Amino acid sequence: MKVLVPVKRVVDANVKVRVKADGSAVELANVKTAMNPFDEIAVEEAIRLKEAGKAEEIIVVSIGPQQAQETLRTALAMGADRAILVKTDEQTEPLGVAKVLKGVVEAVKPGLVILGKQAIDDDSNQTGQMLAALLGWAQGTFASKVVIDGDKAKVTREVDGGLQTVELKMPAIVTADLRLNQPRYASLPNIMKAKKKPLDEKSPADYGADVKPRLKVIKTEEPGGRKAGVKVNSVAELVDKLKNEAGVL
Amino acid sequence: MMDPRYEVLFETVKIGPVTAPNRFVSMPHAIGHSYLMPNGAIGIRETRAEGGWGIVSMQLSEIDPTSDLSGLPYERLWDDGDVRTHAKSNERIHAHGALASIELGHTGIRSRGISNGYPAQGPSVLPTLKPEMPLMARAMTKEDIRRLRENYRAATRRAKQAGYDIVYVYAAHDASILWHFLQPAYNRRTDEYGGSFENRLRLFREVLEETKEEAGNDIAVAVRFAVHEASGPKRITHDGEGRAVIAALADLPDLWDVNISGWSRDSGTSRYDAEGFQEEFVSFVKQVTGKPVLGVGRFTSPDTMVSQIRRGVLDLIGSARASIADPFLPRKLREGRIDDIRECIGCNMCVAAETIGVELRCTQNPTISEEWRRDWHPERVPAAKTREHVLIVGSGPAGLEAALVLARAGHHVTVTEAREELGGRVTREARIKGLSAWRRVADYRLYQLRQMANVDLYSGSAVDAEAIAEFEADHVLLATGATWRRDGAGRSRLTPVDGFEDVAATPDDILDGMEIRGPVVIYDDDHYYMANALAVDLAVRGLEVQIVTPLPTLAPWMAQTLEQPRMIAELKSYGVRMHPNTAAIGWANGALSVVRSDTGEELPAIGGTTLLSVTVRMPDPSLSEALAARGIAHRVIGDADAPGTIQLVVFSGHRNARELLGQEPAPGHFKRERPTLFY
Repeated sequence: MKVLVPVKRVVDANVKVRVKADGSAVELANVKTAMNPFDEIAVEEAIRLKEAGKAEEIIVVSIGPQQAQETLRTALAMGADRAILVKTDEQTEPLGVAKVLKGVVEAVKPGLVILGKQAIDDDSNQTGQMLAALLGWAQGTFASKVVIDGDKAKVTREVDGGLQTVELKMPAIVTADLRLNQPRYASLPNIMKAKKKPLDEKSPADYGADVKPRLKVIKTEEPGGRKAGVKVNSVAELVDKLKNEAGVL
Repeated sequence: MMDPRYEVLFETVKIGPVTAPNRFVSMPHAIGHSYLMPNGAIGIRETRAEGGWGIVSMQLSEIDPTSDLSGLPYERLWDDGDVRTHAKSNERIHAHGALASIELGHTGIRSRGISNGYPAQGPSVLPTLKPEMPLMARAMTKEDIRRLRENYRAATRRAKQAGYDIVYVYAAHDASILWHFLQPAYNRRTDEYGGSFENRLRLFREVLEETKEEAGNDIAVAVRFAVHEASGPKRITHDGEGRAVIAALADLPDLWDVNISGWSRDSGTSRYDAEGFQEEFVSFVKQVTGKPVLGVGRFTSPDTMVSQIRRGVLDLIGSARASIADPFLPRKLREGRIDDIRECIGCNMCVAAETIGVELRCTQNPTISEEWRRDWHPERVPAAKTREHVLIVGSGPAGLEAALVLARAGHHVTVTEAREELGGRVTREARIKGLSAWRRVADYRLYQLRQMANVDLYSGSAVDAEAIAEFEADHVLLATGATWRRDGAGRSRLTPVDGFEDVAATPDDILDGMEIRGPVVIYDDDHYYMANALAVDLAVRGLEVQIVTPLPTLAPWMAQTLEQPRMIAELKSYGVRMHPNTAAIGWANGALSVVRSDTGEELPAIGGTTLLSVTVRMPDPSLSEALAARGIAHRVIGDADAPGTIQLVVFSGHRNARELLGQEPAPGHFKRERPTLFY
């Protein structure tokens, strides 16, 4: 079985994100980027399936600018076998990405697609679900455990109030949640070795997909600053404030 | 944008006739540049003014030749010939909108009188306050007192002429003649300057009144006064005469700058004193005076600073060490860049630089003292001419500092670390009890590097010469650190000690998590923090610990950082037995054979289950040699070059990066301060 893992290049989670002065978008110039952390979990899960003999080949794909090949190299260094860069300088949106991925799935024919549940830049949480709909495949989202048994995938999902286990007929879509695994990191020697692994460059047109943005950003703003605290003189005053000012009691 | 929580720190404060633009005060403190090195000193002060400190202070300035701290690099304002330098300094401070203050003082019986032949003078004939020096102070006559008061007046006039906004009357640190007169342990006079509290306070009051008179309506007068003695005679306390002095002089000065005495307690390190540790002693002051109150306490957290203001403890936040570690602290806060603050780690290497008489040094800020002579700026690095790729092997303090400088210059920097965790020795050593603040050396740099698109950090990535060759970087820096010797060879004895090689544990073993069984015998031929910090760390785990050292006292370098007395008290409190002046000659059958270091006389053997050898660290040259064999040019930096203090290896990282960038002249040829030649 082949496993396809889409990975996204996002602003590094350690970076303090700043909004552009004109409020049009987040500042991306000269900002450190990295693989979306949920995608790292997806890559790790694919590698573990391969290590357990449940998968033969791991293909990673990224849709984005030339620099997204660094993200693919990281996935290759972690243990993916080959990579596809679908190059576009457009601002990608979940539907456009899902359409490209549908084309990639049709070309690669994986038994399983594992995606991160969402990207930490736009927090859309849509691509996996859209891809499942476009393909007409079963989906197991917010996975905290994945067990492959023949042509079935048992996926434990993190839902409000507990865990839900669903059984999917493969091929299927899985989106990875935080507790699925602890991903390994790419060491420098492995990054160097990854340079020798195959990386194909394609365009959205190669998959017959249109990635033109359909959404319009009206405004981008930073969260408001925290207000200065006050010191209360007694427990009674604290309780009073919690009741009457904060309204939490 | 500034966080509204911190707005209170940027309020103006009226101090007599002048107004401080904000509440941040860069304190008068020793900066290791005496009157002989004015250019370097101006560089330090101007950088602080640029960095947003509302008041930038001149260090202790002696008012006349009878105050003589021979060998220590202090300032002078003896006569009109000194005014020009001070005026130039103030011009540079004022250019950035800050006020300038000067701590005028006479060091009384703290003086030495060796360099210029005037004996120290004080209230009574007393040994000078340096028991290891065979010197006595003379008792001042009425004429001497009159002259001292006149000299204080003259110094104030000169300070005014030099453009200072605030002039100090100095009475702190057990190092001021006014304090010495006040101190009942020193003042044995029977005239109107001795005896009763009012008499002992007389000289202090007279000088303060006369300074006010000279200051007139143009400049403010501050008093720096230690309200409590935590060491020394301990006769002046915050609930006794310390409070009485504030009450007696309450609204006479325009500003009260209060702290504790002596210097070692005022400058408590992170190992022994938490941020804000002076609050319990100084918090009463604002209740006794209506004038603004300035205080210190190794403040690095803006939240703690705000808390001091809001709770009515202080009106102005004084910083010596925090302003050394980050001269741009106020500006970063104002610009909402709190994460960019380079926090003081409280190690007192700055103090050690002063006590050994060299230019100010700082573990966190390698650019201190280099502003003028090397053109190093704490925040800016000139852009590299072309963008090149640099591979740095090792993510300890040297590697990270070099990475930061090179990345700021625009190079693409890849840092590779063999361990799973970044930060090298500071991350590891910070796990030892008492040393947690040292982690800030790595934290600050890693945070900065993680923001930059031109930096890649790889942990768990050991590389050999082949991998480095294959990487094809334009430049290679080896910052691979050093490891502790196991064989007992150290600083006082350069050859191995019998029986150590195969059995002794080292600090590296402990940091790697090795199980240690007691009783433990620590052999310390390193003489800084490692042996004693580990002794406490192991004692806390319930192990019986003895510490053996060939030198006459334990960890004498910690006398330079002012920590030695407290370290010894700490060891004592944990039941650690100490054996100074004791040289190891061999370890066999669970016992350390020892002799007296000075006479060679045999001493009873010291038994234990584990021998912990803390001597010197050695670099491993093999990677450098393998690169050389392949003809790959590289630099060896930090501990891998010369194992040293964290301060020295951070500096090494910075200097090597600047040299790589071509921003350094040939080694040793930074700008020099030259004396005037009269021949």
